[in-house]
Amino acid sequence: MKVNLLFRNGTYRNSDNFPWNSKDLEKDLDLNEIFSAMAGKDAYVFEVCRKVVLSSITDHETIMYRQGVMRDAIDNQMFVRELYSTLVNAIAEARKQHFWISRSNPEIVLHESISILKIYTAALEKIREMGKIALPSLRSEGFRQLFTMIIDEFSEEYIGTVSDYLESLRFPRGIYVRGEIGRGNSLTGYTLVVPDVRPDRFMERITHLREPRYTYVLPDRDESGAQALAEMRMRSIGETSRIVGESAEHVLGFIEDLREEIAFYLGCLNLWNKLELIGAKASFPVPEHDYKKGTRYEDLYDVALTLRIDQAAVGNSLNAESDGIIFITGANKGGKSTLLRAIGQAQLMMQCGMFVGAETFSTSIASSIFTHFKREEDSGIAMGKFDEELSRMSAIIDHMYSGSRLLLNESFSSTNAREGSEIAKQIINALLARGIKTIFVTHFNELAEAYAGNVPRPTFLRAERLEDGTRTFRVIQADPIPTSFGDDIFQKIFGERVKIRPVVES
Amino acid sequence: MVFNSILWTKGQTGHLAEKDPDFFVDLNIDQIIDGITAAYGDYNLRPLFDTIPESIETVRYRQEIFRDLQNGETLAALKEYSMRMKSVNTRLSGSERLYQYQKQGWHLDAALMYFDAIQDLAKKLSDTQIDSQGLILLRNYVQAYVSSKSFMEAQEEANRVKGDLSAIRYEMSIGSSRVTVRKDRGRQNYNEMVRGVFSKFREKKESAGRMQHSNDPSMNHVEIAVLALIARLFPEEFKALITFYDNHSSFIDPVLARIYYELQFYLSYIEYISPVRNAGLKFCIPEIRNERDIYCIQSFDLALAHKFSSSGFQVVTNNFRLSRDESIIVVTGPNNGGKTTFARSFGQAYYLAALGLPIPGMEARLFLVDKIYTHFEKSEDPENLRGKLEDDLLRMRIILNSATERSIIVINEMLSSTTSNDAIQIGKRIIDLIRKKNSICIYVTFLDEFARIPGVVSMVSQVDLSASEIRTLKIVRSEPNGLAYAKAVVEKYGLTYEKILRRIKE
Repeated sequence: MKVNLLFRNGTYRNSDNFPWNSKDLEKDLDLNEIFSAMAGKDAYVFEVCRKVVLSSITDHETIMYRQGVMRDAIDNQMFVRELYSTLVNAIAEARKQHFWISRSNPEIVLHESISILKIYTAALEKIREMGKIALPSLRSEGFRQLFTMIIDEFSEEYIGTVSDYLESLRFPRGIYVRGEIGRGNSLTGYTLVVPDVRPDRFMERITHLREPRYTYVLPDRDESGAQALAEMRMRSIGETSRIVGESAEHVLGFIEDLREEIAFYLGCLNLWNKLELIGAKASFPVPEHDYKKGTRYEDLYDVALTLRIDQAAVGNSLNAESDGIIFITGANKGGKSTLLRAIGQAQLMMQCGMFVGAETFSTSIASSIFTHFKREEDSGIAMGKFDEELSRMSAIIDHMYSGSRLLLNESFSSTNAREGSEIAKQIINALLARGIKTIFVTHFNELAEAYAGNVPRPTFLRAERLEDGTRTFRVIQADPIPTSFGDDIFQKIFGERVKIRPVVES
Repeated sequence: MVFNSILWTKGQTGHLAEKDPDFFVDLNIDQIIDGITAAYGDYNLRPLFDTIPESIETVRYRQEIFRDLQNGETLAALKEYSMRMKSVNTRLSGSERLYQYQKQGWHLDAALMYFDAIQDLAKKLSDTQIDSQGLILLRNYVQAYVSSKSFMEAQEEANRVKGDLSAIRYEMSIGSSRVTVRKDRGRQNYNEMVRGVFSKFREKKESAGRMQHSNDPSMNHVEIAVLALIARLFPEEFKALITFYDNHSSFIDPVLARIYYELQFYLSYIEYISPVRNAGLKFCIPEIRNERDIYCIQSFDLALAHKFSSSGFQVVTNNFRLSRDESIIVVTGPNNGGKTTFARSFGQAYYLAALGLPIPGMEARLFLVDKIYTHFEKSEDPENLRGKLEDDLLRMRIILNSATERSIIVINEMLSSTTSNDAIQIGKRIIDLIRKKNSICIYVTFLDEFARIPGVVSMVSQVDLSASEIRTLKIVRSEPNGLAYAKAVVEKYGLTYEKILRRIKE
């Protein structure tokens, strides 16, 4: 009994196993804005989407599998929403009545499990009927498999048998066990046997006339004795209670898994609708499992920014056959970081099976995704800025392996350009040698230039600035030019020009 | 010769120490012994670890046994024996307070376990290769014991009684105030039926909170009363039980009981060092001689290594060697803790070897030490510097008065509160005095001058910035070098081209 809407054969467990750098990813790529749009007001959907988006998958097949389910969800919005609310209601009802307080008392566990199973089997029946209606219009393997399974496994007949058992497990006629003599002559075994259905005293007297039996009767007011008897009963039904309890937990597990996986697709639906409303085009990306494939996109935009300003942001396009190292240079405040974020978001969204914020998007699947952004504030650690940057970089190296993608934003700028460039060069070269793709937003123009015409075939992007100094916020494919535009901004803010020392002494 | 000990060649003759020797704290041997005995609190093993045996024969007697215990089968056999004897004792110690039938039940189970344990031990000892005198004597003793007529008869009777009891099956119906027992009527197992119906819900194998009751041999008073009723249903079986109890009240052989105790000396130590071994560190049985040509390869501080073994840290190992005419090692170098650790591991090696234990290191040759002296910087506030120097020297004089050429003196940062010039002058004199005594001395200091005294062996701790978190460092024979290395920060974070290549997994 698996949901399998996120993985074809996988057990999608409720593990909170976020990538170690998820905090950095969320912050650097402005993901909370996106998660909020996905969640609407549902905190649960927020957490699920956060988890699924951050736990990138790396196999092409699974990405395409989810894209299929996602397309079905977009085409059957009402069905998905109704399914979700049925699940939420069933769970809420069960929670209202039972708290699973006493796992140690089998009688209570048994009792609660019976009630809970009744609620869930009713919910499953409802879902089964919904599925019967929706099935003809579902195309994805994921949805079809799931509902075929539910229709087969939870037939009316089976649910009927279960209900009968749930009644008789309340043991209206008492508990019967078979016992043995164990260690230290203790009474063990306690195997539950079929209980007497009704006491037929006359028959019993005849058939077992000669069979000796002895009865121990509890003295009046022997409270500890009553307790002892209760213990013996508990022991007798321990195994039964465990079976039924596990069944209830398992069904709950299934219902919760289903709710969780549906919650992700629901979140995607919410985002899809919001972008549509704003007028920003979203599309399904083309993931490549060949690492050598470059990066191509048309009208790629920063989804978070679009959501925040509630209007379509400037889109960028690129066709880079070689993307081992991409330098993004050019004017300050010219849209470099925005583009870097847009690429990062698209990569992450692609690798959880979502659509992306672009007309088209295609790149190779990264084995994992890292960000190293310049940190404005001090993290409160007794460490110099430079130390902090390097130790963060070092931590990333610890978690890297071939096929990763690293997004650097003004990294190593806490030292002077020459030192920073030298460090960056060592790192970039080593990463290239290990098959790790890097995108580097930097004002180290000299460093970028040094790579021009170089073996790794770097791609250069530059934040565009027109002759008159205005920024288009477009980032175009162009070789780096050795000037920064900090004086523009300085002038804008302070209203006077300032002689800016060249960053790289020549 | 009467066999009665696996710790002492002629049986224990002298008195055991009543408290830890003075140097235990300085060398962290107290921590080692705490660790060894932590899980063996019932045995009062500490006196064994506090007492250096006087004769070299006893040391070798133990070393031989440890060598035999390197054979996994032999070790497993003795561990098994020990574990079972522990259970036997636990069962017996609790049984006296119990009620009729339960008491005799425990006694019978203890006896069965004891017979089994001894028989198994006899068999396993004859199946494995044994070379040590101690274990050969033990084997012979056990073999004679198990083939005795009284042993065999008692065992046979116990098995028969137990078999009859185990074959008993009864049916019990439990109500709210009464329990009825009768002979079993063979009813169908109800759990199986429930399990069948609910199997669909129970694919998950991870069972939450399995009931522990079924194996718990304790009984409440209702069960004890019910047991008496069962005894009425099956009178023959229970009569045989009472007879066995009356005829075999004390069945444990006193020599084997003593061996069981002494065995803990070996087992506790082997258990203590096993995580350290698993972390990749080596232990050896040192060659014990009377000459002064000593060495140890890959020595380390056992207390520290044990602490780190759980966290996956591996401590640095060091070699030491003193040829016949060398007696004093001066350890200098930067203040990272590596020096003191080295000095401790030196002292530990000697002490552990003197107990006949395997010591940290790959290979070693030592002599049998008569006494170990330590002179460690006392941490109390040196309010009165003059008084402190006086105290330091007084302690040193006491040591020098009684040290012999078979003694070890470990000095750690003596005279550190004195002005360097004074410290150097005084220190040189002390080293001279030690040399005259011809004791072995290891002297840790930050004063390079001591290391330059002709005739002393200078060892220096090497600084490696990249490994600065690991507190033990390589200590090698070399000229003193007062420089603390300041390596490049990048080097420290492992971000050079070469280091990154090495760090990133393919």
